[in-house]
Amino acid sequence: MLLVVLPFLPELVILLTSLFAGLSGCRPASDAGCPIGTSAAEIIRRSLDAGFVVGSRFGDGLAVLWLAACCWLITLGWARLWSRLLLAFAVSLVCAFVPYFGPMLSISHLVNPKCSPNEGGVGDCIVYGGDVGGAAHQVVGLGWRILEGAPIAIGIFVVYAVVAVVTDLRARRQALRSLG
Amino acid sequence: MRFRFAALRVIFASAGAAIWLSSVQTAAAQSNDPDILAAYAYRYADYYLPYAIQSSTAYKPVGTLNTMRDAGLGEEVDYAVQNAIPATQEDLRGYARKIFKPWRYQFGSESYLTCLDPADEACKAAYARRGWDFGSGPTYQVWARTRAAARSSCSEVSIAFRGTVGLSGGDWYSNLSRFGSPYDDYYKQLQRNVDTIMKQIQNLDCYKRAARKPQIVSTGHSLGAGLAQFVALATRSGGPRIAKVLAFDPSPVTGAHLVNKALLTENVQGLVIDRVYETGEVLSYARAAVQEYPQARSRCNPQVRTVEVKAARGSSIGLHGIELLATNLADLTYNEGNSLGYRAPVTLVGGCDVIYRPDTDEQLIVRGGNQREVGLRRVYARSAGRLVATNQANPALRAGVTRAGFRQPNGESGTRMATGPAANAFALAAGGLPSFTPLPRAE
Repeated sequence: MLLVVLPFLPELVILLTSLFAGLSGCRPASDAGCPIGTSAAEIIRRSLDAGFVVGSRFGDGLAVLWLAACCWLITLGWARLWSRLLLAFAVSLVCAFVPYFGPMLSISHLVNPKCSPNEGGVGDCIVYGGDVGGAAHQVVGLGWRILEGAPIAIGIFVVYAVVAVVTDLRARRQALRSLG
Repeated sequence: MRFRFAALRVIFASAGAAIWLSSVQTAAAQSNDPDILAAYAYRYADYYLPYAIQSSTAYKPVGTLNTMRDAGLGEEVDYAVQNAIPATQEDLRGYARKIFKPWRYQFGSESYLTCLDPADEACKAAYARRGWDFGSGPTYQVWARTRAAARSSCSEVSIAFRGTVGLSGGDWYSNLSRFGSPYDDYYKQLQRNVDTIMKQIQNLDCYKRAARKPQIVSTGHSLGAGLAQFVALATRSGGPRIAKVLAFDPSPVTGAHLVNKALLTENVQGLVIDRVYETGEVLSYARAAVQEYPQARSRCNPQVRTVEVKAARGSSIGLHGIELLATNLADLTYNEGNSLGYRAPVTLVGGCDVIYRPDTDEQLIVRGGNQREVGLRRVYARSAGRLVATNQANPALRAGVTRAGFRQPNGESGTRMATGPAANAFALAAGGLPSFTPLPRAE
């Protein structure tokens, strides 16, 4: 569980920051800064940068190792075939979409007339009195990396499923033979 | 225990294979042979810059531009340049302003497209069959290049489409249109309305007043570039056609799968598509892997030209921005403060005729004439000596034939001849003319 959540810490930080900012009476469209830590805008900007790095690395191939590690842990932790396959499928789905769309979705509630993130990198993005434009525009472009990330995730799941099914069948046959 | 070890080995072997395969794919993508190599992109920067500015401005609200248009003061020129080039590059903004000066915003839309023409029965029938909708539609802005001599007429009309805006579901579903979408995505909305948009363009005052029918081109960035290609492929027969598409960092999705084959064949006759991108930008790999028709290797009907700009470093996603590309194009139009002038890429390549003719408007020629000579003198002085030294026996090169990106019809790359040192060095290749004497200023 921790392994699944770990890559998405930046998104969690953004959500928590905006939650605290909201509780403190700050508004995303406001020109005034929001004094949470250094500033809410700065935390969000750095978190977006971190989310961008995670998504980029996943698209570069880290997703393969991360999914392999998850599959390995699933194999160790669950004995029944269907449990393993269902869990692996869920983790693959998460890996196929969230690293690329997660950072963008995490700022969806912050979009305001002064902040319209776009893949062209056009215009500023003022949130809680600070400009997070560069980072916000970049995470929109990150969405395109799903074209690399989704096939990787689906591919790893298919390989894992085939191996798990074949091995399970062999184990059953051997068990039957030993009984017979 | 045997199972666990076996599974583990297979998983890690798969992981290794996937990493290796992804690196092979990247290498393959990088070996793509573009028509205008990065080293020569500066020659055409002046030509491409206005369209890059329009593609950048397409991300801004249509309402703001409507207000500026109604004021009639030409404020949209400054507004567009400011959106395309960051405030830190004031000198580049100045260059871009000069180049973009002839363009005027005409009209646009950013709402869901039902049927722009309520009397269009075909559109109404298509609308009745539509899929689920998001309530959002393609954003486009129509610009016209006014003639220097007669401001009320125009020589070219351009439809600029906006790319993906972060959290718009409609934008992302349109990006995935290639895989079959149950939604009434932007490609489908445009398909039923493209002819009405063309009619609206024909009804523009500047269009009607023009002595020679203005050419209609389409442009856009990323998703917008995909839509720009689509409208060129989907315009119904009988009316005016899109002569050229200027696609910046284009999406691999062109929507060709939505157009019936006969119409597609008709619309690609003589069509030119220029795909301009920053080297290494994120979609260059996607285009190499899953490009929808027409492919980059298409030489004729349509003629697809790949224009690589290599003026920045950074992540593949950072390189994808249109602001970056527009800024770099603006930078490439000048050399040490001197304009390198206007030059359009050759239109007649490999014997393939095209309907598009570059603008020969006198203002462009005046702006590009004498300044170009000064600006290019230094640039060509460096390269010309080297070219002559290495191509002494090449008469075509000595004659100064410019064929950047020319390819033999058999698919082999022809000699990538740079501009010859003498006759063509300072010539303006507008309208396919080999050389040109600048006309006096018209205003």
